[in-house]
Amino acid sequence: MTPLIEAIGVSKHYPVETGGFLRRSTVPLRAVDSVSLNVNEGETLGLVGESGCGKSTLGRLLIRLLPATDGTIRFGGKDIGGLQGKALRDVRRSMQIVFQDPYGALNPRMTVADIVAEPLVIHGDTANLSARVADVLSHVGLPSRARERFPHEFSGGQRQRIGIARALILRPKFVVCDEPVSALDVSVQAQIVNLLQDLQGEFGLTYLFIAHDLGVVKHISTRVAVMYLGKIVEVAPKTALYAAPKHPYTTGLIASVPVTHPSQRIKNRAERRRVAGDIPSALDPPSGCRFHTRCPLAQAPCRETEPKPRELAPGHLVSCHFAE
Amino acid sequence: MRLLEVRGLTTAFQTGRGEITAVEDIDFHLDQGEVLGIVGESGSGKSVTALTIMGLLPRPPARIVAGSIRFDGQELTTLSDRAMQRIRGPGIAMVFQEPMTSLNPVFTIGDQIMETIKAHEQLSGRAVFNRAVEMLEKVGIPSAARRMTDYPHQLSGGQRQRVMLAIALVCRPRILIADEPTTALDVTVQAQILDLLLDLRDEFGMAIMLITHNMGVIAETADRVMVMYAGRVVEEAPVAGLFDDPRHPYTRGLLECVPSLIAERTRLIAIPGTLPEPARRPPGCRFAPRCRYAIPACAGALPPLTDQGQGHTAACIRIAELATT
Repeated sequence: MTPLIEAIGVSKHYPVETGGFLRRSTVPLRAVDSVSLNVNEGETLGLVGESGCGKSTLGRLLIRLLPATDGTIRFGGKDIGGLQGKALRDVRRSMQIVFQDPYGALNPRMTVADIVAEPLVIHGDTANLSARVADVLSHVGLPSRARERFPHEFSGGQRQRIGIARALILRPKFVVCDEPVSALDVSVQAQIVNLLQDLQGEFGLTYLFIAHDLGVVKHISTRVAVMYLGKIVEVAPKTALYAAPKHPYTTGLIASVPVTHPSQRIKNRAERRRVAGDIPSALDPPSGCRFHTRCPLAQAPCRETEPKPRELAPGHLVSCHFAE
Repeated sequence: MRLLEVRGLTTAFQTGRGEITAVEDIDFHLDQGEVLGIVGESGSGKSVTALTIMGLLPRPPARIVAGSIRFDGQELTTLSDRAMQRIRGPGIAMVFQEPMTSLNPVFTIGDQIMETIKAHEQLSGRAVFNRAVEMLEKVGIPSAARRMTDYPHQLSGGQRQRVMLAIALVCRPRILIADEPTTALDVTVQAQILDLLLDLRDEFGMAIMLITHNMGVIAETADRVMVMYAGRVVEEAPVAGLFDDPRHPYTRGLLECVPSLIAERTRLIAIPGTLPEPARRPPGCRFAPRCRYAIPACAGALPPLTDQGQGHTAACIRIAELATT
């Protein structure tokens, strides 16, 4: 297992102005706070967490769509943090992103052919342009007559195929899929998930698959990382994470997923070990372990000391003082 | 006790391209204290069904072409707007999917809850306030009295949905229509809201019509389920019967295409194609073009809902043959 992407102590802080007119001050919003994470070549790393936990920001940091405030990001062993100009453009050819909203991510005034060809045009690589567009469209399951049409003529699922074609035309190695199916109808979600898996095999892709649907993440991922308020709290191979979650947050997340059959309902609703309350503000995160305000197992040390990641089983890292 | 009885309901919209039928010939009922789940994808007609019952569709362009809606023995389709206003709230109340846009941003949440009480009951100002605080406590808003003066933007998405529930429930409705109440929320908050809905059902004995596209939400909450596709009901059954023995190929597809935390599959079983637009619905069975069991006869005529026993009905001409597959 060679890591394709290595993130070491990566942070992204946004300055946010608070207070009124007279007592204005600037506070850092810690969207991503000192995260270390590898994505191995050829795998799909699932990244889950509640909205506002920083998962999309982390995805954008890894492909340098956003500059990191702190930390090191390596792609294929090379530090890409300080790259500029042509060197940055070159490495970006290998790293692409598929966005969540297939309605908002495509320019409504451009034809499908122009949208899909644009990355090649930007990189000045225009040899056999139309043949390559036709080729990638056929890979994502769009008919060649789609080329001259506009995004509004397509359904949500087909638009997501256009977004995937645009990401793949540069033949990247690493693709960040940021909630690629959550805006789609359930019957169409499965089509897109299957397509992403097929393309991974055909093109030898490595995915970071960001989603809040734990079922989809379990299906598609090799390993899964769980994020909470800017921190990774648990990373493990998928089977281990779902069968024996070690962090109380992961346990609560999985317990919150609706059952698949009415016979699995828990009769006594008070007995369910779900996560209570809402995610706190990233402007003023709790001291110590950030999850302690919602954690059913929290004790005194959790309020004071931030837990460091510990490897409790091979490849199973957990940031919790009491996980075993 | 039968609270709501809908028969042959057909709602259409006037558009630039002629009249389009959104829901067609819908039959169902709702008993006191039960949770009826209505499942379908966007465009299946589930929200239009709900809004027609609530009398909230602007007419024109909407029009009830046929059918009847009887609430507690009273026909709603012919009621005046004034009379319908008295039904909404204490009779039937509704919560919507978007807690962000359904609350008025320039009024406090207290004002918005009290407005509902004042519209329906003659109470002193103090009593109205107390009633609103009590309701906020019931839906799980901590330090409710102090939160009365908060504006919607000061609350999280889950808390806003709790406030929406407080507004809907403050007049003790006999039926609550919840249209995708958890779709915009995280799973953790979704679980909290669904638990809350069921707790409130137990406490108030109201009936709930829960509209969702999520089969998991149905498995978690519903007593009975109605599956809609392209404006029509394709299957209806008690929840266990639907999950154990889905009869309609579309229902089977919906149950199969969702990856679960339990089943391990290398590949998902997708339903090919997409839902047809209302103006381009195919002749005969509307699911036929996407159905792996379709035969030429499926395009011939709309299949009627047929009784399968044990409260289970489905609309597919091949049910008998498919039962063995």
